Amino acid sequence: MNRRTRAWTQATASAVIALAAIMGTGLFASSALGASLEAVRSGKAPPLEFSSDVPKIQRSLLLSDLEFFKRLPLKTVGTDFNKLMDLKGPVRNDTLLDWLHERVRHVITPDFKLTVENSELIERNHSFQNQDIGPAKAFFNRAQVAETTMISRMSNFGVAMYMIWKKQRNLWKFHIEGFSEDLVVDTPRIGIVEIGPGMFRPEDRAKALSFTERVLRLKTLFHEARHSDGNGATLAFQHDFCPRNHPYEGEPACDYNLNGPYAVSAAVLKSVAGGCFQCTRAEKEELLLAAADSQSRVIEQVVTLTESDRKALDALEAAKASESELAAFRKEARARGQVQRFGYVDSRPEGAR
Amino acid sequence: MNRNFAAAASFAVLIVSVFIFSEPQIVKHSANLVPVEDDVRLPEPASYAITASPSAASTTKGPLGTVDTQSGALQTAPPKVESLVKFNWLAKKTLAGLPTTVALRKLPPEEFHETPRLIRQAGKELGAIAQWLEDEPSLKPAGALFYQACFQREDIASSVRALCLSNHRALREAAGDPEGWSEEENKVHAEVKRLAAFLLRR
Repeated sequence: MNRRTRAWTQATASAVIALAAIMGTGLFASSALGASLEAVRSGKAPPLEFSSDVPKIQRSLLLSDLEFFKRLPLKTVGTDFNKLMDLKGPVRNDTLLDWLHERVRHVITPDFKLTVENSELIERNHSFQNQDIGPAKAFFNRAQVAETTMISRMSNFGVAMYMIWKKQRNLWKFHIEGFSEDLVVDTPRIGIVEIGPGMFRPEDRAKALSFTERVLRLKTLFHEARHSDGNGATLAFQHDFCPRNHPYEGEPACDYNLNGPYAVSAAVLKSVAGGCFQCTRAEKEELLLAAADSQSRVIEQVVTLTESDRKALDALEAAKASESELAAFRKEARARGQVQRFGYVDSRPEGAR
Repeated sequence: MNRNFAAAASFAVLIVSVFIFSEPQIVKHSANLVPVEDDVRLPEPASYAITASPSAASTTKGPLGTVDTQSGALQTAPPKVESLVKFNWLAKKTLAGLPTTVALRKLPPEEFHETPRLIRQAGKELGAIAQWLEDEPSLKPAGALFYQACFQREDIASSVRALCLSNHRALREAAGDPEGWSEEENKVHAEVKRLAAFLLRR
């Protein structure tokens, strides 16, 4: 496909998508049906419900992104989606969208605040599944602190509320204006995501309909969807701190397992990049680099150095040894260290109905 | 009246969308015509020598060009000098601007959870290189040199080096080289190879 033909194909496709988005929003806005998987599959309900303060343009973009995903050619060879995402049957666009819908159904803005008007305590001293088991305490607290300083594209509000209320042994439900039903927070699969300030930046508005922007938004949805899974120690698939020498060293931006949110992000990006025959090589490259970035946060193994090697390495770094010296020492030290490998972890959600 | 308005609105959306999606195509390559002075150097073309007239005796044909099976040198139709100069200028500029691990560590906290903007920008720049190589296959030997320089730079972020490494291997194998890591590729850090292997599993 030459450059001009490709440009026109994209232009036409984007125009169709833009119109579909506008028309689609109108249709969905008039719908007040519940959002069961069957209703969504049959087109009787929108795949996402929005709180009433989500701007219309953001609703239409997210809904049209999901429509866009339906027609996106995927190349799933080379990735074990069944193992990665617990898919039982064939890996297709519709089964991936079903997977997404089971985990993300509602969207709110950062302005949403829990109040006595919109929340109700159903039961005190409620016993949740795995009541006394959760992600490591130290991590939980540090992650909470880190979360408050982040300006993310999106976060999984539902699972955050579930974790807090599980810890307090309180069963709550809340009513959010715009949602078709009250939501009882008894599972991490409650499926409420919050749009972050990074999702629809004003400076990105002009390219919001571009192929890469759409795919990156979809990637974010799939990523957040994975946070709705897990039980006990794996609850919410919370990120952990990246190891030493990692580009994001010390930041809560890594997963020490093979089926967490970053692995899902990487797999979705790579399968879209691999399958796309209409997009340009440049667009594929952009997605592949984003996939590599996500995969770099999937930690497959760590090596714990011996105490003496750790001290020796610190001394070398303090003495500003050359890169080659450091690399040579690290290689030797790693060979003496203790290797810990990470695999697929239990992703079954707590209390799923 | 309403119908006319709807038709006009649809047409306006169409025009705006055409503009949005045509724009990157129009500006492609055009921003890179000015020479730049820096000390970034591409490696010497040892194994990717470009030869105008391949010897018929010991060559095999591949998508990248003709490979001399004795010397391993790639022989391909020579690119236009002007294209090569422009491509090399873009390659040097891109190489100089790729994000380093140090730069990533200095990012503000809000950048870490998702793909950082530095990485996204690098994706666009590497995308321009890859697109150019697809549009002008005669530049692939020069592209292979670029990718080699990229994956060998230890200060560049591992994900970026991994993409360069996977592209280098793909170009090399498409040219008829044996499958698997070459000696040069094999020397890179295990993490870079892990990520490149992930990208190549398709």
